Amino acid sequence: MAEQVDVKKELKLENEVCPYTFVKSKLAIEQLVTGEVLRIHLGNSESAANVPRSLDLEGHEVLTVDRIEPSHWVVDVRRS
Amino acid sequence: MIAIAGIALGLLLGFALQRGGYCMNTAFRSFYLEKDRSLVRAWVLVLIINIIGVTLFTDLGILSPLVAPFFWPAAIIGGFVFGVGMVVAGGCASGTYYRCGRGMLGSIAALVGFVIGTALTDGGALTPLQQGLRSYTLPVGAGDATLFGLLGIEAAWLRWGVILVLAAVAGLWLARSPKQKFLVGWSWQRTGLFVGLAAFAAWLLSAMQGREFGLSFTQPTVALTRFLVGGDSSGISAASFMVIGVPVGAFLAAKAAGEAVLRMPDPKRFVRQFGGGITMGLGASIAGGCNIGHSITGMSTLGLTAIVSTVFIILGCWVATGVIYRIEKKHMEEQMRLAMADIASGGETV
Repeated sequence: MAEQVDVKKELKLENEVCPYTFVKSKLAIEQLVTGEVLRIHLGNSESAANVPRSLDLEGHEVLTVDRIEPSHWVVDVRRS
Repeated sequence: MIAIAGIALGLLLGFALQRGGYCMNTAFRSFYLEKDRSLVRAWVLVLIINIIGVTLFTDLGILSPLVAPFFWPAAIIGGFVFGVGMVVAGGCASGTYYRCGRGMLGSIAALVGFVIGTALTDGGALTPLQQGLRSYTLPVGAGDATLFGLLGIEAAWLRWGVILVLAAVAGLWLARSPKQKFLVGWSWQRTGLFVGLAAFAAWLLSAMQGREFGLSFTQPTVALTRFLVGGDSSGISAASFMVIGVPVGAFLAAKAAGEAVLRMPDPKRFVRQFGGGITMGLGASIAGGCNIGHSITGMSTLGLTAIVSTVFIILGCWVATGVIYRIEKKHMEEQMRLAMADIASGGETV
């Protein structure tokens, strides 16, 4: 569950648009050290699909993608 | 009848764009920034459907596609400007239209900018810029300015040979795609299929009206503006009704998924998206098309202007994305340094 994860940094990007959603997420996770978790808040379906998929392809571990409201997704990613 | 057909096509297209998250800005950018190729695959599928469909129907005598003359300076400059603009606008022309329907206020600002930009450059005060850049054309062989004209290919079997080889290479690449993870909405296969069929339907619809050009957003936007603002209905076609249908279709798709929410970006971003929309409008009017008119419809005829425009739209997208990436990186490093300095000074006083 998301609550048990020790979140190191949180990004609020609900009102942000592409490419900023991915750019900010990528830069933020690269500032963490291996094993630390970044929590990203996203506000639209494109970002909720593209951001986790792209971070996964960068080699990071996507722990959860939770849709907590109809247009609010929370993504937890562990730095590789 | 034409109005109903146009609106219906727009509704279906808007629905598909929203469900598939089909933004060509994202597709073009992904070559540069991301490793995910899902939307590129959807675009390639759209192209395969339309290149084969348009060539077949042209050979059958049902279509006689309009191909732009090869005004290469307009294609290069207009394409590049459009590419930069769509990054700043937060979406390509079609992407901006469908996101308006979902309630993204920044995209509504971008659309207003796009309307202004196209009106300025196509019939407005900046028309000499458009006409000047378009006056340099390169004659290509005897026929239309297409890849076939350039290569001097006239025989039908040779044309089909080239098309089938291209389609086979693209098809093989698509068939070897990895499984698409973290899916929200439609897969790239379904998105490509629906957008591809909608684009092909637009060809047939415009042929019925004698316009002989497929799906587009730039010309219909200009025509609609001229009609709504100036009372000139001469450019109105099914396509003008189609662009009205797109945001409505996207709204319905988003509403059904609970995603139709008014979202306001921060004020700076809002103004930038407006400026990006104007830039995108200037570029599209100079180049004679956007990511749809050139990168889908023009490319289905393998038109040279469409191919060159698309290449420069992609380059413009990469340059703008690269600049944004560097600015954001610098910004984040600065914040990090400040935080470190804060911790360091805090450590001394305690």
